[in-house]
Amino acid sequence: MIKNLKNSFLYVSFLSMVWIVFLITIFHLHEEFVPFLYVWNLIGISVLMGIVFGIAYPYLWNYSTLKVTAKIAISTFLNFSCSIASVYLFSLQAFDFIKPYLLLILAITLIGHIIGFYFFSKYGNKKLAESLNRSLEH
Amino acid sequence: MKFSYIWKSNQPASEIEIISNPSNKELLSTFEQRFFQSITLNATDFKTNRQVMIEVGNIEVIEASGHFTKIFLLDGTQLLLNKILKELSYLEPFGLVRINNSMILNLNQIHSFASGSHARLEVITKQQNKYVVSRHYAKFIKEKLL
Repeated sequence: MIKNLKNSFLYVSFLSMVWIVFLITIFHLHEEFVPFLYVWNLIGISVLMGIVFGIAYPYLWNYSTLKVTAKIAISTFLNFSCSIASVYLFSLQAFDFIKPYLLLILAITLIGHIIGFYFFSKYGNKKLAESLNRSLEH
Repeated sequence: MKFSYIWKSNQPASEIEIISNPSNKELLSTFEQRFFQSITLNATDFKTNRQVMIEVGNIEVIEASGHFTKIFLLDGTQLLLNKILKELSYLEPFGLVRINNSMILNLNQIHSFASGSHARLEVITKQQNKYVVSRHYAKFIKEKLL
């Protein structure tokens, strides 16, 4: 489990880094000269993505046996915090721009996680249970 | 019935390959069950504090409990084993497999699977007990059942 999560963390962190640099490049969000220390901000965003999407989500989805309400609460909190921190690290201007909409973002994040962790998970479990019951008959 | 043995040095020591006619399926399944049941564990009885030998086939679940594990037998008896769950992974070929991070279940005791409460996957045993199965181990169980 630890090995899987570690690999997933490194994989997601690296891909996030490439994705952020790609977005900055195609949308011309960069300046001609970027302060060297800003690179650490980008690495910070990648690490946050790695923790949330490379460790927390795979753990909650694949290994955890917590109640769905706990899963929704944990994933919503982590996702929301990670998004806000990422925007803050990316640009202070962008953070100021989204500041008035934080509650709306939280509500949308919560609804998304309810759909994902409750409805989709229930549907997935039903399918999985059916296929396992079929395997039992063999 | 005649037995013929083919010895292969590259065959894993924990694996025995049996080639037979499909009509022998039931007979071989009985052999397998008897073989599994002959594996024993030395556990402590909660009530008497005595050491007891138990057959693997009589176990329903093994649950992690700190540095120890609790064994639940088919008749509901609870026993204590001085081992952590990880140390019991050798029981896997005998049908005792992990169903989540803190539990090992006897595959021979599975009655069915169902989508249970709180959007969790559950396994129902022949004793009508319900246990939560994590998605990761569900895929592994499926491979074992096929």
